Amino acid sequence: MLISRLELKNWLNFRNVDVRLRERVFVVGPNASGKSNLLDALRFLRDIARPEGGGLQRAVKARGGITKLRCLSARRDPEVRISVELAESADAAPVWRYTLGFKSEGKGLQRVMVSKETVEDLSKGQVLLDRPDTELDGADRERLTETSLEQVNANKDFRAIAQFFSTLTYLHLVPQLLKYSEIVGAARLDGDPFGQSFLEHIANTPDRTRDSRLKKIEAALRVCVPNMRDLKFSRDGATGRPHLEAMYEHWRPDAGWQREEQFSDGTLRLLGIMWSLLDGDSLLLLEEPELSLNENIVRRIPPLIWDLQRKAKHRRQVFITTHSEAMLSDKSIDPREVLRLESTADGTRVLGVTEKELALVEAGYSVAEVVLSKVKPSGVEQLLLLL
Amino acid sequence: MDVMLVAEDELSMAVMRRLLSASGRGFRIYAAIVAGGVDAIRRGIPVYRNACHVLPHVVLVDLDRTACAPTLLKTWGLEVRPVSLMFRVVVRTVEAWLIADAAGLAAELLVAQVKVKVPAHPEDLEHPKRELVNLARRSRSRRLAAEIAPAPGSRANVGPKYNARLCDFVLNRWDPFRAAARAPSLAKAMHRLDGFMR
Ligand SMILES: Nc1ncnc2c1ncn2[C@@H]1O[C@H](COP(=O)(O)OP(=O)(O)OP(=O)(O)O)[C@@H](O)[C@H]1O
Ligand SMILES: [Mg+2]
Repeated sequence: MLISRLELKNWLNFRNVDVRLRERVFVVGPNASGKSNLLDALRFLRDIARPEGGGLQRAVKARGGITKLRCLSARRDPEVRISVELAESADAAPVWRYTLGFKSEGKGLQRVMVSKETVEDLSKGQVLLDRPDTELDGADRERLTETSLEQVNANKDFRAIAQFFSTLTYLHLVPQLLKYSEIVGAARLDGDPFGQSFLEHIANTPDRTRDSRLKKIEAALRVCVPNMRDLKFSRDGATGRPHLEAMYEHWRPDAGWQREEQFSDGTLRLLGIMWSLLDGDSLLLLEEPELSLNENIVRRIPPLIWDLQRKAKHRRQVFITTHSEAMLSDKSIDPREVLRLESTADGTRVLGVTEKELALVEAGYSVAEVVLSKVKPSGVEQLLLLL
Repeated sequence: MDVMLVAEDELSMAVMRRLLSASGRGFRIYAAIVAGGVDAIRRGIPVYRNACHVLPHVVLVDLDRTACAPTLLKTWGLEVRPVSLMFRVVVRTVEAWLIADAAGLAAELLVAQVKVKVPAHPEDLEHPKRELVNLARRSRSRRLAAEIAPAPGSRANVGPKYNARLCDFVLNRWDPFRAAARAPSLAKAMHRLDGFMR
């Protein structure tokens, strides 16, 4: 399943968004335009739907409360709203629509209250949930502090949606946190966004699955790190800690084994990205996968994603935030896969592709040339003069 | 009218932006593509040929070492081109067009105009960029000189703020009309821009 349409109202720096999405979604825009915030709308749904420690109140609190969440350029309307349509594929008709609206209680405890929650089964044309309803929510206002999405006994008829959101992965792997995990310590954020538990995660994967994934990764990695062979999982004999090892070919054969601490930052990031592409079956959100990678490798990220999406058991929809011209210069990127963020005085706008852009790409331009040349902040050169 | 701009580098792009606004034709820049070198522009020609039917294109390229503009156009297969594809050649590099506004540049670089012989025909210069950098070295402001010219002993061609300084000059103080009097290729480009897509 994938998200084929996303609507936002008053979410962080977005006052109003309505966009169609495909299997790969490249999110581009200047710094602070809201790329991470866009992904956060989806992480927010995960935080609500998650079986352990989920829930609306906690998800809002983790983001500093509704006053931080609600768009600063919102007008009178106090409601924050997220709505998604889910489909089996990008070109198929959507099967589900889930909408969640919430606002501040406005008095007393200043809790967040559900102002709207609906679930529609679009294939059958049925409304499965429509809150607030007069019968239950009307009788007990307390109920509005929780979504039905987060409750196992209330989401029975649309468990698939809850499951889809709760298994979403957000990855912004920081190689240093992985390499120095013993020094950094055990502090982890919910959902392990920085990949600190990456090795434990690999360790907990059944042997056969793990080995087959590592084989696929090694093959794909060969293009980028040609002298690396025999990527494998191991445990330290003394401490039992999980490790990744690989042979580096051009060294003396007996000295060639290296562990993840010795892998380069770029190798580790690629490993993390590829593993998560093969893992799981829900959304994958990748933050700036180009970091610490050579431009020639970055150029290969879009085909790599495509490739692994097909090799994986379940094809995951992938969201990618990026600043990289090299990545978007890949001619196989369909302009409909790109969301361009543009800051305005009235909040950030999310622009899908225009007819003109489609025609320009058809004429032979790459998405980088057509879209990124608009994203570039103007006057950067002059900015330097203010220093 | 929306147009697509294509230029070799940031400085050429700044020049194009300035020329577009100086034309008073109300052109709007749809997208500005800094191709990153003359080879990239040459490779892009088939694309510009197609895409100019979607959107008028203005492409600026440096003549550099090629003998003359007609030769360049001929070897690049551009003698015949769609009316919506404007292709202008700078003789020899865009710095010549900057030098052509001698008074403006002297004021900008804080060099006494009398001390410097600003060439009467900057398009004849073989290395306009070198000329410009040398001019900056004679600035009364040591800081300005250090920003535009490479440090002594450096193997780079320009200083760290070469682009920033000169783009700012071009966009805000460079006078293309004054420059056009000494740079025929600039005068011609402005004339063509005047009549482009009329
Ligand atoms: N409630 C809000 N209303 C409006 N704007 C907000 C709100 N909360 C945060 N922002 C703005 O969102 C911006 C940060 O957005 P975000 O982190 O998503 O940017 P980004 O596009 O990911 O940038 P980068 O490329 O630097 O990672 C900040 O400028 C911040 O002021
Ligand atoms: Mg970000």
